[in-house]
Amino acid sequence: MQGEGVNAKLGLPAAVEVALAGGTSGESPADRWLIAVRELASHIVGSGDVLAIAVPVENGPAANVRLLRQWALAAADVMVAAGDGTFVAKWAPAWSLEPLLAARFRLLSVAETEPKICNMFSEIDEIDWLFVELVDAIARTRLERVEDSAAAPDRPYRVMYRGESEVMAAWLRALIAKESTFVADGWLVAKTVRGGLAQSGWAAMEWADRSGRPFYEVAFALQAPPPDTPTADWVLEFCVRHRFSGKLVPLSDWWRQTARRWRIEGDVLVAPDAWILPKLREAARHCPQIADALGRPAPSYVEIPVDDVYPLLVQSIPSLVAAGFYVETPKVEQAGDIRVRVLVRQARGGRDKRAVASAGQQWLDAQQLVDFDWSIVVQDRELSQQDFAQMVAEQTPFIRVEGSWRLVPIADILRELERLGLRSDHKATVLDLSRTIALAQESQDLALDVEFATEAAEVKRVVDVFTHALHVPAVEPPYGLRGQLRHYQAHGFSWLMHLREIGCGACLADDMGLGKTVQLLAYLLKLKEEKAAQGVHLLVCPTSLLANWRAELERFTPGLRVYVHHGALRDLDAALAAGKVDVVMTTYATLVRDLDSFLTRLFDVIAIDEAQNIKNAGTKQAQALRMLKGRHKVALTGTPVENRLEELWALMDFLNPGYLGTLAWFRRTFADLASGDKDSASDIARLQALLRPVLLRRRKTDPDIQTELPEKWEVDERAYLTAEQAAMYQAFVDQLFTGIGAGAKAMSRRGMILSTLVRLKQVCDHPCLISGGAPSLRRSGKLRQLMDLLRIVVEDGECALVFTQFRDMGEILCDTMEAEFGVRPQFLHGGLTARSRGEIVESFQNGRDPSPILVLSLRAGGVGLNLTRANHVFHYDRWWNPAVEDQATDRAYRIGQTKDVQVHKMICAGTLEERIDQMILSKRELSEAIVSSSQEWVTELDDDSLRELFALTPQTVFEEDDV
Amino acid sequence: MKKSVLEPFWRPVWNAVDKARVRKARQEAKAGAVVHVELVRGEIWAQVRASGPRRSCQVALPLLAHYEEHIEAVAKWLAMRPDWMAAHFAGEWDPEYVAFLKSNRLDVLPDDSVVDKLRWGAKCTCDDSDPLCVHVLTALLHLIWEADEHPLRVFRFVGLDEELLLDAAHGWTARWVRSTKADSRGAGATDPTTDPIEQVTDAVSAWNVAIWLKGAGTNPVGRLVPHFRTGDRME
Repeated sequence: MQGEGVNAKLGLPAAVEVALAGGTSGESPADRWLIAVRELASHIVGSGDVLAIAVPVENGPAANVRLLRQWALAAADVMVAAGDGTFVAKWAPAWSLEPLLAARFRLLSVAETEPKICNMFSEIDEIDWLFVELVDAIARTRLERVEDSAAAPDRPYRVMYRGESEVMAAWLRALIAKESTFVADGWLVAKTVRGGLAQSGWAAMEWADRSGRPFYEVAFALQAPPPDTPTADWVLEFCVRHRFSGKLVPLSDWWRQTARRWRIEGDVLVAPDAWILPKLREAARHCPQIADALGRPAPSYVEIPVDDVYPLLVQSIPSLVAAGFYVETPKVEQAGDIRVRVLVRQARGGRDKRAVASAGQQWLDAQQLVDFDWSIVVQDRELSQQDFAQMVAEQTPFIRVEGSWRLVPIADILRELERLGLRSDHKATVLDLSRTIALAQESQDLALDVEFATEAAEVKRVVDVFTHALHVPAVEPPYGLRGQLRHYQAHGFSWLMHLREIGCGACLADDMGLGKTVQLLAYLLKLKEEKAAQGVHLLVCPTSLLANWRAELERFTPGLRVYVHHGALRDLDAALAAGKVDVVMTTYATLVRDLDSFLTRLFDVIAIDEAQNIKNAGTKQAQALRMLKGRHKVALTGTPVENRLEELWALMDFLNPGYLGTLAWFRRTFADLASGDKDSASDIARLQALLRPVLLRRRKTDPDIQTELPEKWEVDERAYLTAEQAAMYQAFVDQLFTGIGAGAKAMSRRGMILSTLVRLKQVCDHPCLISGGAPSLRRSGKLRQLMDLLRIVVEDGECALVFTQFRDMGEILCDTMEAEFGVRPQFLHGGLTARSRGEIVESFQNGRDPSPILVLSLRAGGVGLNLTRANHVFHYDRWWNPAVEDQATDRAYRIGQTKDVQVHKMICAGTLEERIDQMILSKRELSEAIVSSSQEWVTELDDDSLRELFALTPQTVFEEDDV
Repeated sequence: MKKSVLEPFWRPVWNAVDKARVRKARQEAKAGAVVHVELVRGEIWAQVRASGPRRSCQVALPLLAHYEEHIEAVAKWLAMRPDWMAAHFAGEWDPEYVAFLKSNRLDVLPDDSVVDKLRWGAKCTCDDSDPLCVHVLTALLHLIWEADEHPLRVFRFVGLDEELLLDAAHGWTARWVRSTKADSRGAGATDPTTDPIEQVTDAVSAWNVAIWLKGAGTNPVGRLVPHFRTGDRME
C-alpha cells in the first residue's frame, strides 16, 4: 500500500502489515479490500470525524477495540480501569457520521465473507484496529496542531485533578510526535478517552448492529404495465433500499436466501427480517394491499388491478410517504395542460322553451339552441366524452403520454365541467355556451378551447359579441334627449342597445345617484327615433317612484308619450287603443292586479325599476313579471343582491331564463361564496365573469366615475301623497279659498294663507302632525320614500343628515328610523342646550354615535356645524329660500368632506312643494330676489295664482294597497 | 405495563399456590431476578438471583410438550403467516395467531394438568420443599412475560428456540419460493457472483463514500481537538 504514511509499523496482524508493506497490486480480493479500507480512512480524516484515544501499550489490536467499546458504553461513574503505565496515543475514527459507519459495515461484511481477507485477521475486532491505525497514520501527516478544548479561554473554569495537566500535555505531545507512547495515570486517561467515546459512534447501537437496519430501509417500487398492455395489473414491489447509495433490492431476493443472512453488494445483513417484517407491518396500516400480501408466504410484491391504482396513488402511497417510507413510482405525474375542447357544430332550428317570453326576430338570438361536442385534451392527447366517461366509471385516470404515465385529475375535471355547465346532451343555448366561455375565462384549473364548425359561424359571431359585451360599439345618443349623457351613462346606453341587438336581457346596477333612469330613458327614446320599437314599452316601478319617473320623463325625454297605468281611473286598453303611447308606466301592485290586461300584449321593452322587488322568485310580483312577454327585458337596481345570492338568480331568471342554470346548479356551484374561505375568492371571480356580459354595475367610488361626478349634486325625490294626505290637503285648500272668497280682510287673508301654507307642508310631511294618531309609514308617501332611500344609504355604509323644519316631525323620523334600522338616531333641535348639541355633533362626527343618520331641525342645525361624516343630505320638507337649504347642506359639504355629497330634496308630487320647486328652478334669479328673506311673497299672489300654487294635481295619490 | 396475554392461561398455577408466594415471585421477576434462560435437554433452565447467602438458584422447568421433532411443521405454520412473525418482531400478539394457538389446542398454552406437571417436574436448587418455590414461579413469570413481548417465545414451553424456529421458517420459505412459480419475478434478480475478486470488486466499487458523505457534517468529539492543515478543523 503506497502513500500517506501508512508504512509505519501499525501494530496490525502480520498478514495485513505484510500486505500493506508489500504494496497492493489490486489483483487479489485482499488488495482491493485494503485499498477500500485506506480510502475510507482517508475520508474519515478528510471529514474530520476523528477522535483522540489512548490505549495501554501492552494490549493487542483486538483487546484495544474491545476496551474502547467497553469505555464507550460505560456509565460515567463506572470506569473500567486501565492501570498505570505506558499508553499509546492514537487518532481513531469517531464514527459519528452514519455514511462512514455504513462504509465500515460493508468492509466488515466483505471481510467476513471472503476467506482471503478473513484469514489475515485472527479476530474480526482487529479490522476496527486497522481503521484506527490507518486513520492515525493519515491524520498525523495532515495535522497542524492539537488543541486542548478544556483549556480554551471561553470554557468555564474547572479545578483540574492532580497531575491532569501533565497527563494531557504528555498525551497531546504523543498525538503529534513520532513517538506516540506516553506515561500517565490510567484512571485519568480512561476517564478522558471515555468522555470522547461516549459522544461518538463507538457508543451507538449502529456500531454493533449486523442486521443492516441502520443503513437500509423498507421501500416500495410501483411498476406500471408495459405500454402494449395498459389494462394489465400494476405491481407494487417490496424492496429494501440503501439509505446512502439509494440502491433498491427486491425483497424477493431475501426470501430466496437459504439462511437468514442477506448479501447485498458486499453488505451482509444478518437476520434482517427482525426489522423488515415489522416495517412491512407498519406499511400495511397505510396500504391494505400490503396487509393482504403479508398474510401470505414470502411477501415480496402485490399485484394492483388497474381499477385500484388510482386510490393507491392518491391515498395509500402519499400515506406511506408521509409515514417515512420511500416509494418509487413510475413517472405518474399529474398531467399538466388539461383543456376542454368544445366543438360547436351548428345552430338548431329550435329555441329554449324557457325563454318563450322574449320571442324576437333578431338575426340570431341568445336562446337559439346549438349542438356541440366536448372532449378532454390532456397534453395533446384527446379523450372523447365516451373515453372520459369510461375513465370515470372505471376509476382509471391514467393516460400514457410520450412513454410515461400521467395521472388525470378526474375529480377536478368533473367539478370543473359541472361548474361550466357542460351538459351531456350536447345541446345548449347560445347564452349557455357564452356563459360557459365566460366562466372558463376565469377558471385557473381548466382551459377551454372552443372551435366552431363552418356551419356554426353565426353562432360564433353571437358568442363573440356576447363574451365581449363590455366592449360595446358606441351608439349616438338620441337627438331628442334633453341634456348631456355623462361618459359612463353614454356607455350604459350603448350597452343596453348592444344587449338588445343580441337578444339578451340587461341588468343595470349602477349605484344610486349615477343616473340609471336617464340611461334607460335615452335607450327608449333612441328606439323611438330609430323606429326600432316593436310595440309599447312597459316600465314597472314601486309606487313611491312613479312620481320621480314622471318628472324625469318630462325633464329628459319629453318626446316619449307616457301613460301611467295607476289609480282608480286606469284603463290600459283605452289608453293603448289610441296608439299614442310610447311607454306604459305602472307599479308592481297594479301589475299584479291587472295582470290579465298585460298578458294579452307583447311589449317591446319591459323595464323594471328597483328590481330587488322580485328578489324572491316565488312572490306574485316576480311570477307576474316572468309571465309578461317582451322583446327585451331590462332591470334597474342599485342593490342586485340584498341578502341572499339566490336573489341574483331570481333577477336573472326574469331577464335571461336559464342563464344562471337551475337554482340547484347555481347553489351548488357558488355554495362557498358566502363562506369567506379561500375558495370563495375564486367563486366571486367566476360569478363576476359570468355576470359581466349581462350586469353592468358602476360604483360612485370607481375612479373613472368619480372624475365625472360633481362633488355635490342635488336630486329631487318625488313622492305621492297617500289618500289620507290628499284628502286632508284638499280640505285645507278648499277651506282657504272658502275663507278668502268670503272676503277676508287683508291681514286676515295673509294670516290664512301663511297658516294654510304651514299646514299643507305638515300634511305633506305626515298627516299625524295635523290630526294626530299613529305616525306610521302607511300614512305618509314621503316618509315611505325617505325610508326607501335611507335604506340604500345605510346598506352602502354611508351616513346621512335629515333636515326638517318641524320638531314633531323630527321625533317621528327618529321613531321610524329606530323601528327600521334598530338604532335611534339623535335629534338635534333648538330645545337642547348648547352643550347637548355640541355633544350630539361630536358623537356623530367621530362615529361614537352608532346611528349612521342624524336628524336635525333646519333652524337649529342649519348653521355652524361640521358634520362631514355624512355624505347624504335629505331635506325632508322644503324651505322657500334655497340659501337656507344650501347652508344646511353645507354642514356636510364642506372642508373635511372626502366623498361626494348627494342632496336629496323630498317633494310631494302634485302639491305646492313641487310647484315652488319648479318656480325656484325656472325663475331662479327672480325667485332669489323674491324669496330671499321670507315666504311673505306668497301672500301677495292673486287668487288665481294662489289657486295654481296650492292646487292638488290628480293622479298623484297612492292607492291603499300599493304599500 | 401492557396486559399480559399469556398469564390468564396459567391461572391454574396461580390458584394452586400461596398468593403471597406469587406476589413475591412477581416482584422478583419484575426486578430482573432471572438472569439467564436456555433450553437444555428437554427442560427450560433458568438462573434466578436469590436473596440470602445463596446468590442464585438454578431452576429447571419441565416442558409442556416436546415439539422438537415437529419444528418443521411449526416453521411452516409461521412461514405461511409472515404477519405473525412481523407481529412477533414488533412485540405484539396478532389476534389470529392467538386464535390459531387456541383453536389447534397447541401445547404452548397450558391446560389444567399444568400444576401437576410442574409439581412433578420443576426443580430448584433452593431449600424450599415445595417444588413450586418462589424461584420456579419467578422463572415461570419471566418466561411468560418474555413470550408476551416476543410471541414466538411461547414455543420455548414446548422445547423450540425462537431463533431456530425463525431459521427453520425462513428455510421453509426459501425452499417454497425456489420450488414454486412465486419466484418467477425474483428469480435470477440478484444471484451473487461466486468469483471472490468480482465479489469484492463489486462491493467496493458499488459505493462512493464521498457521495454518501455529501452534506454530512460533524462536531468534534473528545477533549483533544485536531486542526488539520487543510484548515478544516472538525466543524
